[in-house]
Amino acid sequence: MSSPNAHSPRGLFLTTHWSMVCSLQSDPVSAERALAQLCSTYWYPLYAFTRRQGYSAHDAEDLVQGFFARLLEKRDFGALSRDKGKFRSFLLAALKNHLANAWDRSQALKRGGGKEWVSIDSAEAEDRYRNHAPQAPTPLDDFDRQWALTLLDRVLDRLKLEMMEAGKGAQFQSLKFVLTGGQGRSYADAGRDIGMSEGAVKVAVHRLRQRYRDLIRDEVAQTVFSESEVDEELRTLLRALG
Amino acid sequence: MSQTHCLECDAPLQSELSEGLCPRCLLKLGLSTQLTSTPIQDAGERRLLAPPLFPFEFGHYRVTRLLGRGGMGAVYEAEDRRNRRRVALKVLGRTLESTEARQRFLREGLLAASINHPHCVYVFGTEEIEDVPVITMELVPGGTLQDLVQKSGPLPVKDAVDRILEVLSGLESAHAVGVLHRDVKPSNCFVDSDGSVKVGDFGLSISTLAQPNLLLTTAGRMIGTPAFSAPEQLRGETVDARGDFYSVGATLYYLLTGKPPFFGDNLVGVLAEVLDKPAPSPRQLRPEIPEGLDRVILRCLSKAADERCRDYAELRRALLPFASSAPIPAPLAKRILAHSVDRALLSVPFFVGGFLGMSETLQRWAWAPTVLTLAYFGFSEWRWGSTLGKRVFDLRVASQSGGTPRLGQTLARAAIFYLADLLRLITSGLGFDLIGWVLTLFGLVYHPLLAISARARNGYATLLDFATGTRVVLDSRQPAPQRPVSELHSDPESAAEQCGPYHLLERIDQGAASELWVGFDARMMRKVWVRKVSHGEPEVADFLRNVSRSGRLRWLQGQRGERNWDAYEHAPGQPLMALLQRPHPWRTVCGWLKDVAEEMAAAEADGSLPQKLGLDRIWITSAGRAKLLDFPAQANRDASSAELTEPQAFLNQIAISALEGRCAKTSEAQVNAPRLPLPIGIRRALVRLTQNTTIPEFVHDLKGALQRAGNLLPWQRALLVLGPTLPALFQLSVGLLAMASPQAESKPLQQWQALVAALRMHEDLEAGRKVMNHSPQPKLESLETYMADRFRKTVQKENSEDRMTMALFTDAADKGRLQQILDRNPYPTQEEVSRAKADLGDALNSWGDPVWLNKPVLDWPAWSKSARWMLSATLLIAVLAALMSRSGLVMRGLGITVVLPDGSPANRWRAAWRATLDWGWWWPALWAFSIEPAWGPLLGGALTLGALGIMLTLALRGQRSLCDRLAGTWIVQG
Repeated sequence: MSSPNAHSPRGLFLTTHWSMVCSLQSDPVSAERALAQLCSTYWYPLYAFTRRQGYSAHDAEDLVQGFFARLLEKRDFGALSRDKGKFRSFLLAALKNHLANAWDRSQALKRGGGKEWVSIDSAEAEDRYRNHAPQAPTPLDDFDRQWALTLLDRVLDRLKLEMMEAGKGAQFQSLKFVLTGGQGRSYADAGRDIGMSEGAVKVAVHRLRQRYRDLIRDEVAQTVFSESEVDEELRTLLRALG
Repeated sequence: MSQTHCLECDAPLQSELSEGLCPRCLLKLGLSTQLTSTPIQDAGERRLLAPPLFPFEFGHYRVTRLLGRGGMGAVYEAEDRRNRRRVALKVLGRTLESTEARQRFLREGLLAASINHPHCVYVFGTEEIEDVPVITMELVPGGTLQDLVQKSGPLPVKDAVDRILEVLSGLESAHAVGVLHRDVKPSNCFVDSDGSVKVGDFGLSISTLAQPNLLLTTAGRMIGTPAFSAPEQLRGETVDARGDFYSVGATLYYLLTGKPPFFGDNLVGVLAEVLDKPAPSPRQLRPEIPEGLDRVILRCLSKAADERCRDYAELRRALLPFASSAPIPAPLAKRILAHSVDRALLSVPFFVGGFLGMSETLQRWAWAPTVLTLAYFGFSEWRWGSTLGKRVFDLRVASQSGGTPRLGQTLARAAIFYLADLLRLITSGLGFDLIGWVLTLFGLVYHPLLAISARARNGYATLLDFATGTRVVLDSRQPAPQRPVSELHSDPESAAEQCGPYHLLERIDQGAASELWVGFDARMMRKVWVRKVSHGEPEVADFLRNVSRSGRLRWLQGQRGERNWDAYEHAPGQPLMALLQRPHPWRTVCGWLKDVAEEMAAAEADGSLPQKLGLDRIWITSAGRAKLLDFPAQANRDASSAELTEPQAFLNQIAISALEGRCAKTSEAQVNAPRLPLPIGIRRALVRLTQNTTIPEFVHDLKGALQRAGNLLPWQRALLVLGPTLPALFQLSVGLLAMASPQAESKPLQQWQALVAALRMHEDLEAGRKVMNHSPQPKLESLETYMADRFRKTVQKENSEDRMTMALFTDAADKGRLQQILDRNPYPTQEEVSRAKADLGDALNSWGDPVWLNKPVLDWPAWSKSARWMLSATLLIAVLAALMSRSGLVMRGLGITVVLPDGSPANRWRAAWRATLDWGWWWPALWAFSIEPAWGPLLGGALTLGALGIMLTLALRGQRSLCDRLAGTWIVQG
């Protein structure tokens, strides 16, 4: 059993993005940067949620951009406080509020000034929305589901990037299956693919899983206040996947 | 979008997201604190197949998803690319280094392959792909019973019992070929698309025929799933079918409560509980489980195998009352008969007591009969759902939920039914006797009154039934097993020919372009059918390759090209055409019809109904089940049958042909129903078949009719003969008895008559009037002496007869006169009495003095006259009843109908004629009785008994009684 510090090798919980956002008063510049960082990661769940509310692809994109504009430019954090808890919950509450205020497209443009606050690839977004039609029964469940998938994509991207930078791209491709309980290949088979002995594969697998775990906990930690909330958030997301 | 499922958790996968990995598993890894406990770490122990994403290729299979994981490996859904059949692929998940695992795995395949039953998962074969042993099985798409409970919670009681009965029948079929399952549990019971349950996963099963195999599972290795395994199995002792009964009980427990009987956090705890702790009652978790069912489950879960049911039949019989098949209400006549038997039984101890001279004791215990009766009915109906009498007539008392009633209900039944006796008991305790007479009269009308509410539509429920929330129903009988059919054989061919993997053994049918062979699959150690077809015959259609219903022949594999053949499951038996040389009993034929109709209904629904239908496409298996073939198999080449396309006419053609033992023409089958006596319900279903009815409707009709219909049992036929004979027998016995005992006993009525006559004579003599018919006139003193001697004890009410005499003797003046006579003649001596009697002479004869009667009591002409009157009256009533209801009251009560030889109900005149014969056949005997007292009774008695003997023999041995033969009628149920 590893100690708590083992989960945060780089002292992640000292300053997470979300805790930084919440310390807006003391350090507005860092807070804005942190918020922009989070928004650029988790824009798709917002987009999908808006689409599921019945807005067209175009309107959804404008509304989400307008939402970010209001959030970042106007620093309109509304009722934001530490009590609000997780970033995911905050973002959803704020978006619902934003949509409820019946911002039409022109208002969105006016407020947003046509500026792209977060880079949204509208074609990709719509493509993903259409191909992975929401499966959860309610838009709220679906939001959490999309959030989980986005989080996982982000973590795997980070892991893959790290491995590629270390010249282990092929190793990642061959061994990534171990992250989900094996999926039926043996180490020997995997080793043959990348020219490694079974023993070496075992070591590599251990490291890969360890690193993946650090990264996913780190990513989740960026959206909550404290380490103690990481497991809870992971469980919530697991439930959202059904 | 390609969406497949995770091998590990079965969650949907989206290839474009999360690197194609399972999001659930990825999130779980984030949560996990035990990094080293992942399955893949044990690569040395697991030989796994499959790339990370479905579908993937594995040998000649295209694996599409994971169905589940078991102790020995995983089961996948796959398509066999060679024959486009969808199968379940069970793959050994452990290393092949373990010889034991490998042996056991392959043994499972072999053992399971020996079972071919609608409620067992069918095994197509075993093979090794990429060095991994694989069992190919029938795909049962509906998940397991465990999935069902996890998804929708505990099942409704009847639903659960229905499913367990299916499991039982699957296990029984395995047991019949010598296979014990040993791992019955909810996750091993698979639900088919039509909702039926199939037992699968014979991974731990053993052959009861090959004991050495037991070694494989001993030696300290625990076999089975502890929560569902019998204690003796966990202890490693020898297990028999009763071990499976334990698991069946535990599975039923789980289906009803959502929990196994024993569960806990750790294995040791569960083991200890299974071995030592009595199973908790499922009613504690779910109170609406009927008490009777609770008892059955707990009996299954007994620690000692001896305390469980002995065999499958007993367990099935115990469960049937709780199944969904609605209980059939019992006709009133049967209830009355059953009750008569119980009454007769209950009177035995008192009869014997009286015989042994214990009447004094019995009088003191006047309460005993009523209390015993209440206890007898109350207890037996509660404990066994039935009394002995009801058992004889196949009746039982059921609560409205179908289970056995509560003790309170059965006691209330008995108390209400014997209300009159109860009241008499209570009032006699209070000291007013006379009310007993009132209650006797009340009792006479009370019971008919109770039955006033009984109607067919309310299940013949009497007021008693309504008041106690119970019903009397026919005991659920097991469906009669189908008559076995012998297996078709021909001379084994000498040519050791082979088709694919199958060795051809013998040719059982040969057509113009095809041959049907029995082959042998050496690998699976079982027989198959191989049908060699001519070049150019199209391949078996895709939908037929996946058909897995018991009413259709299961296709195994085939080949086209140089050699052309198809292999099917082996179905020993005969073609229907070969069985048409003689008529078959209706029950057998209806079983065949039900099988074919169910198959046709299912085939109509999924479009797999054959284009051509004909008698040559019906195969009767040796177990007596019918299968619809997709090719002709015609043993009798001479009998040609035109092909029908209309399913109803086809079914009718089967019915006519098999019932009448001939090959019915198609034109006939389109309009006519079979012409022979059948139970009315069956006949109605068949007649409807020629009208506008759908196949599912016909299946429904036939099932209902089969449940109700039965052949008349020997006791029913005997009763039908005895019933009309009873009045004659009664008269005969009265006559014979009177002749055999010329000294009649003094009876209260007689004594009273004598008393009154003596008093009148006394009056006349005292008044000096002449006494009629007496010469010389008796003396007054003699009369008084005689009266004082004869009636003193009566006045003193020494015994019950005296009491009854005095109850009749109510005239105050007469009482006074008698008392004076007694006072005047205190105690006459024997000598005085003798003198008095001599003086009175003839007068005594008419007073019925027992001492003086020395001629036969039976007044022959009077007896003969009264007998004629009584018997004529019963005959008249019977004939009138037949004219009104066509069957007569007794038969109507027993649920019997009189029909003509073509099966149609007899008309009134024919019924009346039959009743005349039935109730009037003793007229010759009566005539014989009346001719002369000396030898008339002997002749009459001989005639009566002789005729009765002939009729009983005919009734018990054949289906028709003598009067049916004479009247040209049949009696059937309905």
